Amino acid sequence: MRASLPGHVFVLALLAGAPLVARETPRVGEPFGPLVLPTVDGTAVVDLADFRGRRVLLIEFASW
Amino acid sequence: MPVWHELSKSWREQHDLVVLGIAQEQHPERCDLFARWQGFDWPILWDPFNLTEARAVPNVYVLDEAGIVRSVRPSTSTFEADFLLADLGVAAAAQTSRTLRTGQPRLVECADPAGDPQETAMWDALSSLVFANVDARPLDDVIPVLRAWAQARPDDARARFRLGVALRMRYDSASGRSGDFQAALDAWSAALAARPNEYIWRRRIQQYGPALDKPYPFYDWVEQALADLAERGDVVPDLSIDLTEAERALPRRGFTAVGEELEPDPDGALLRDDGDWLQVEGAVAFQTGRDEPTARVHVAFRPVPDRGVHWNNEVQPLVVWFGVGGLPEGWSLDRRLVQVATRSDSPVSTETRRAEVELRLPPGARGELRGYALFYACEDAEGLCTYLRRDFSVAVSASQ
Repeated sequence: MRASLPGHVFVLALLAGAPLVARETPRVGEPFGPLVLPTVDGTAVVDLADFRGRRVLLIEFASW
Repeated sequence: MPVWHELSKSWREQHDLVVLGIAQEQHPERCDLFARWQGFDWPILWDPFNLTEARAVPNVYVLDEAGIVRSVRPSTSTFEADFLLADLGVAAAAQTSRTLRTGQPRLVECADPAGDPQETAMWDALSSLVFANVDARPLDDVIPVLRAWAQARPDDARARFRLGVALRMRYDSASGRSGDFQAALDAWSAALAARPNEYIWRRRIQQYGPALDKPYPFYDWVEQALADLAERGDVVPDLSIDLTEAERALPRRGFTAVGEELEPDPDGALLRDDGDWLQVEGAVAFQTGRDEPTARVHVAFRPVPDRGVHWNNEVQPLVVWFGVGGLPEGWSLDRRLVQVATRSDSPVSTETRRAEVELRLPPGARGELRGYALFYACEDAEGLCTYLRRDFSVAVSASQ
């Protein structure tokens, strides 16, 4: 069974119209985001800003 | 990604490190399956519209406490020393993170009250698709908004890619309309033609395209993943969207035309279905390269729901013959006869069945690929069961 999401993940009801933002591919020295997206299992919405104050390893990939 | 996952286990135990994923693919449940299979126990965000504007994957970013990118594609061998053990001196920066977020002119924020109302509507439209439950996506409302946004901006390739994503979502939904899949492929192809270095966009086409154009099989791991999870007793996600054969096909280095095959109804003797029994939809996914064109032709067969039509699974499978009456000059197929067995254990079922062939044709060629399906089906419980032939044609148009 997959571990549940950590408690600090900002979980919203899956709201249509929740804030969504995009940006060009960031470079070193620039902020990544803002970025708010749902998780692939549909159980949570994650706001990257909620991880401020912690170091983040962000892995962008596809299962193919 | 498995390498980073393995290494990050100890890093997360020894340091205050957050690991997040972003999935650049159309169908989230497939990535969820992959993550469960691989044991990824960190949140993976779903970005079907390529909002991060990543041009390729994988990408690995290291963010400091202020959300600032400190490294792109870091080395696994020096990650701990360079990042986890290093004093990054960002305490002050963390306090100014709000300023950094709002002060970047390259960022696009949706629902900006001071922004262009049409742009706000576009972002709201994308938001409603990303965040809604799969069965509650307002696709019929949103697609016209995205289409209008794209049509008003002929040079905006990104708008075309995103329109294609929404169209494919509708094709996969219960409200799918005839032509949605082809419209998605056309939108993606137009986007890629304008910006050929967008490899996430290219992969979205190649996922459905010919084997000659595949960098790798996309979802050939799915069957093993399902079996392994079941054996482990783990939760198995519901793959609500059928995998097409194209999505599991192995790459090929050349096109091999089919030899002789025996046509199942050469004299046209079988009774015809004129559309009362099956709905038929074709789509053509061309290779994304510039050589002599090849394409994957997809044909979907859906029992007509209004009359309670269902497949009869106790007899032979659906048989599809391509190239009726011969092929236009210069065209060739990798096969002409396709058998589509049911995956249902039930004696009757109503699922969409799909037949695929690969086609090679001269640059700029236009025409129709004609074929027919032979099928056993029944009407409502007390209705007629019969064996019929359904003729179809798929419009094919290769660019120069």
